[in-house]
Amino acid sequence: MKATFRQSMTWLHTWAGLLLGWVSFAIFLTGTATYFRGEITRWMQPELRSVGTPLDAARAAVARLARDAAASPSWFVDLPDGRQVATTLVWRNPAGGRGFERVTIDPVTGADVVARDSRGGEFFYRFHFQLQLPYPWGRYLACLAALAMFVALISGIVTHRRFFADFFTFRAGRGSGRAWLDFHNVTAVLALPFYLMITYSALVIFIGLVMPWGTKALTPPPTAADPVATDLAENPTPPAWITPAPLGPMLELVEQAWGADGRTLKRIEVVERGTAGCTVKFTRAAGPHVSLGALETLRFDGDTGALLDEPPAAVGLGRATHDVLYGLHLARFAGPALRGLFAVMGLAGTALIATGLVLWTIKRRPRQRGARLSFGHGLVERLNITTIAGLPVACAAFLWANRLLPVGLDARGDWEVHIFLCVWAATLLHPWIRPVMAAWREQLWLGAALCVLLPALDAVTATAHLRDAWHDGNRAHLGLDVTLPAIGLLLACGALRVGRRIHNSATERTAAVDALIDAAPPPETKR
Amino acid sequence: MSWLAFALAYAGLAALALAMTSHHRAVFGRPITLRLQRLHRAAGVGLLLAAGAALSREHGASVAVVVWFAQIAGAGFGLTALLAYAPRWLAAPAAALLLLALINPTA
Repeated sequence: MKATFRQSMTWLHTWAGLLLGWVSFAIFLTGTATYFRGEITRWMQPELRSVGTPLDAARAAVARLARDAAASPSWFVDLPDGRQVATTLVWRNPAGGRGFERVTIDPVTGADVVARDSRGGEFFYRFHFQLQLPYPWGRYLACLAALAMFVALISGIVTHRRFFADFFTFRAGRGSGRAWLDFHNVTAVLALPFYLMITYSALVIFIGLVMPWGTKALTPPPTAADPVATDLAENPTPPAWITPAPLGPMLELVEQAWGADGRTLKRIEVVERGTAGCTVKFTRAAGPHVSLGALETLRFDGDTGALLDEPPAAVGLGRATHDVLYGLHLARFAGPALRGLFAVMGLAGTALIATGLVLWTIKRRPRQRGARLSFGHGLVERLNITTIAGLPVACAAFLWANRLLPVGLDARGDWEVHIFLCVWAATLLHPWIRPVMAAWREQLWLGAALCVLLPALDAVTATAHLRDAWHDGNRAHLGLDVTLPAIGLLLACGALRVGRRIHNSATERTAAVDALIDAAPPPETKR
Repeated sequence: MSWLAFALAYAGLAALALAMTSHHRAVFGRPITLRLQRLHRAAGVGLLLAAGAALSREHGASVAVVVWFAQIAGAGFGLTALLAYAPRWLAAPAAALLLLALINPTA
């Protein structure tokens, strides 16, 4: 135990922040990218052009499902809107079992899309909470990172209590340690409500994974085996197929209720097809409400085609809180301007974690020039480089792969991910063969160059699509071509900053940070 | 998202920053008096509340609160950068946001 409460909190902040800081950085960066999931997908599949209304797309989707999945027990349709061009169809394999088919179709013709195979923004979305690890380990790790982040945020409020005196203060010119600490404080304080909200809601989203006991205790245990399974075991012939009502007339009613375009139909779910319990649920695009529970729906009896009454809206307090926090986390209610602000706060959070990781090493860097780093210190320095400078390089490489891989390549979407992982692995090795500071600069400059040159690559490899995007006023495609170089410039600023840091004397730097954090003296540096 | 509210939020934060001794000196080159400090603080709080009021006229309460926090964070980052690198240009973003609000009053 440390002597005072504040010292304990500083210790907690240091280690909770460090140990999962690398994971949290990756989660924050890809999570910020996920705010533009639809836009990134559009950039990565420039062949797709937006035509028709969501209702037209719904009719094409239903026709396609009736042709290819007539015997399937459930259908799920995700329709295009202002930010997404293609329709996604998912249906359960009729043969039984738990397999699902998933296709992306052209909203007008209903045929498979004629676009390059790409993971698109979906990759960042999945990486954000699964980290490309096998289920459920990626989710557990993400959850642990969220927990550590929450602990680091709360303990950080105690540790850096002086930030009220230093509100709005960034002293870039003074000793380098001061600048890093100012940056850490400014990014932390101004968007603190956002960080608390995003980490807490992440934990709420994961609640079933971390604390499954509540649900288990409240759900009555199954008295017998699964009725369907017993049924199948007893009678090898499945129950007779009841032909569901056609969806066409229901779509007419949906169009009357919500209109054909604008904020209208977004999702269709048909479950228990072929049984007496078949229901069809139409969900409207998110409106001006935070809560996910506030989404408007229309439900029909799937066998008779009759409109069903809405189920009673009485939702428990717990459920309502969950829906609001989930809605806040996803920010589907946000228009472009608000989503931009969310992205700024997301980037600030990424920078907050990065500066925290860098401060850990600055504070413990040997006071004498040329003194050897301990193994642990060297490890942290190098992992910092791989995470903070390397991950942006890998993300940029992912986008480069999208434009450079041959369009007809087999499993092209997987190759994009392989290249992302290979480049990230290379940035893991690079700091071990180069001096630490040189590795920082080289990776940051590489990331900056890759991002700044992306629009040029886009113009060279996708000239016709870029022209179409200009002609159609495709804001997603053009917006990314503007945003990516801006991110490259931020990385270049980082590279310049690191370049400057070398000229400062190590002593001044450490002394400055020690004096400012006024916590325990830096451990282990004098051995 | 209301640009007027964004302008108000920025102005409110700027007033609060100018109530602080070091920032006041950096912008005006002279120390702040106690009376002026109180005035700045009151103006800052008032402007932030006005931003909230403008947002709640446009959105429901839940969305208004979210946008309010987001605008304060965004405005705060811009303000901090200006105080660090170009303190004399403190008023420029407020003017730009007001201009946006005039061009685009409903967005």
